[in-house]
Amino acid sequence: MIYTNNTDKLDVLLSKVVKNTPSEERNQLIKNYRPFIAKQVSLALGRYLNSETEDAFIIGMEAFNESIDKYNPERGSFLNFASKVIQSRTLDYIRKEQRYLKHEIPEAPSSSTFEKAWPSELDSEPELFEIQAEIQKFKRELFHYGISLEALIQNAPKHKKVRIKMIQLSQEISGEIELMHKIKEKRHLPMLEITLKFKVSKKILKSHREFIIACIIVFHENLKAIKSYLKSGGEA
Amino acid sequence: MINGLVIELQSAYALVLTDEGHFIKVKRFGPMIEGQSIFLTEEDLVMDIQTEDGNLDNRTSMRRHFSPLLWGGVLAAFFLIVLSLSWVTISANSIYAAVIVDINPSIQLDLNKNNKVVKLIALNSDALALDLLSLKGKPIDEALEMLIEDVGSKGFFNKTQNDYILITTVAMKDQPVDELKANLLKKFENSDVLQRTNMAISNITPAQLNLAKENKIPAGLVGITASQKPTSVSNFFEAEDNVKTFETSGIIVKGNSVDAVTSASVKPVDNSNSQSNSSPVLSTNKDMSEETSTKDLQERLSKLKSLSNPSKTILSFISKAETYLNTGNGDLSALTKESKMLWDSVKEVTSDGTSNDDSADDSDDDSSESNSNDESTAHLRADLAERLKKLKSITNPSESISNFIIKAEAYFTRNVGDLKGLTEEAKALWEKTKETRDTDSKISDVEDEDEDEDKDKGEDKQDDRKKDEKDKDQDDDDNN
Repeated sequence: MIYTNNTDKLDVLLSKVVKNTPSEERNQLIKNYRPFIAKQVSLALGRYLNSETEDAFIIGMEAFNESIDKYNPERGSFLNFASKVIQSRTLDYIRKEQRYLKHEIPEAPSSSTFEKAWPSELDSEPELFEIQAEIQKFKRELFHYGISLEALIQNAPKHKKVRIKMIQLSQEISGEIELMHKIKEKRHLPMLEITLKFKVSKKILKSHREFIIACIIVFHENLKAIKSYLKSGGEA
Repeated sequence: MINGLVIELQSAYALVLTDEGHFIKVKRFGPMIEGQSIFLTEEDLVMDIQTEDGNLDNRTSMRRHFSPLLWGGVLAAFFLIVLSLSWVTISANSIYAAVIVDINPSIQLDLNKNNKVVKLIALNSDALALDLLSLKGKPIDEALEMLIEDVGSKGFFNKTQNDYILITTVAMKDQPVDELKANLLKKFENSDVLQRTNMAISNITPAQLNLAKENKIPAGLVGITASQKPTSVSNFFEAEDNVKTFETSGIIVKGNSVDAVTSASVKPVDNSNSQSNSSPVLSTNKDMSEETSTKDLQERLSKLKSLSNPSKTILSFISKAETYLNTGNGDLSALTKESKMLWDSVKEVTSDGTSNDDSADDSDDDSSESNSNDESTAHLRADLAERLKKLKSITNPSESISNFIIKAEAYFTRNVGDLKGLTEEAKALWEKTKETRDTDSKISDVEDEDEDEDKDKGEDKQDDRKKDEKDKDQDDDDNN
């Protein structure tokens, strides 16, 4: 909760922003408060934001920008005010969109109004089935190694640096054909070989065993959708 | 902002792989499906990923899940457990029946449903001297045995005297106490301590129990005496008439104290006559054989008297014997012989085990003299006893057999049920079991016979058995 913890900083930033004139400070403020805006929009939508609700998020950012100009410090905290503005603007947008959609495609009575307003991933994302198939395969493989998702979450590295290192290590391991053969056969990591070959400590292998195996599965089975999430983390 | 891929949906949270390569839990919010990518803020996380010290912080989610409804449920479950536990203990300790023991010390033993002693009440000051606390929690038969032993050791009750122990059962909840009684009777047969004493058993209602307590009379005698108020058990049973009156409503179980006493050559006891009639000095001076036969006669007489349904012959013999014992008129040896014969005719029923081969022969002789009706019932009883023994010896009895055994035992101990029907049932059951174990029957039968010879069971029984076997063989042949 970065934005609520340091209200002093917010006040400082707000005071720097000149009303009704675009500036570097204003952009910075909006950028810093993106999570806040996303949260307010998602609350108004009643669902998590995704790539399909990009429009609504832009409306939210515009509303935030608007609230900076209209804010009167005597009427309470800025964030309360901004939250109200963002949510009301988002709702306005939904209503408008609904009317627009109804007008545009009158012959679609089967799908609910909600789906019209927020076209589901099924319509717009043809790869959803692929992703779902990938996830199923991923879970099945994990099960074969005796790893539950719960355990994976518990033992996944918390630190970004460690995580990146582990993802890289997994990718390297998945490239070794002989080693992979061994792993697939025995359903566990050959600790000694890996420590010798990749110069990592046994301790780290042990403590992140589940995460490493999960990553190896993703790379080895070439689960593209999931891999993209790991890779973006690895590259960052 | 975090971009995440929904990997799994659970009721309270979703598992998400973030674009930083992290697996996290996020709160459920709105429509979500697997494979969907969502934008998350840190507020949505169930577990804080960004704490650089690696602390897990999912307390908010825990608080959310422990709703007041859940607390209410937990509370309700707790109360339910407490209530059911207390109910169990209450029902287990509620008094189901009571047994009052009157010797001189009078003790009330309250029993629960499992016939275990839950409470002991000393009904007079003598009872306070006894170690009552150790009896708590014991099954009633065990407690009774310990109690009587204790009473004997404290000197209240002289085992050599022909005193009576009055045992009164009280049903506290209008339930039948037959099982309890049968239980006690069985114990009397098996226990050495209890065998040495005479027991008088009766059953009264709780109202009668209160009446007895108010008037300070022994509980078992409350419904019996109208003419005079009995003060103690020994006074009451001193008079022979009173014993008879008691027998009309209760059960008298004579112990074999006389046997024990005679073998130890202590003062012989005459229970039908006044004590002065036979002094120890006199009896030792007398001819030993005559004395033994007198005692024998007395013993048999008391046994015959204890029979619950004596036949006419037995009753006439009892009166004859009593006149002899009181006045000395009559032929001692003839009476002894007659008593022997009579006793042998019913001994199978009481399963006393004191008889020998000679007496068995005698019984054969006398059967022609005695009443034909008596003979047939006695024979039937003997037959039934024999069959019962056989059926009992079966290693894995079927349900019907064990049921029958219970029935037959009830007949012998309490004399209830149809003798003929039981005998026929026994026959049918035995033949059935015989058929099933056809192949090994021969071997086992031979063994049975050997055992019987060892036990000296008497020729007539063996004849019966052989006859049975012949019948069965014939049946088998027929079947084949």
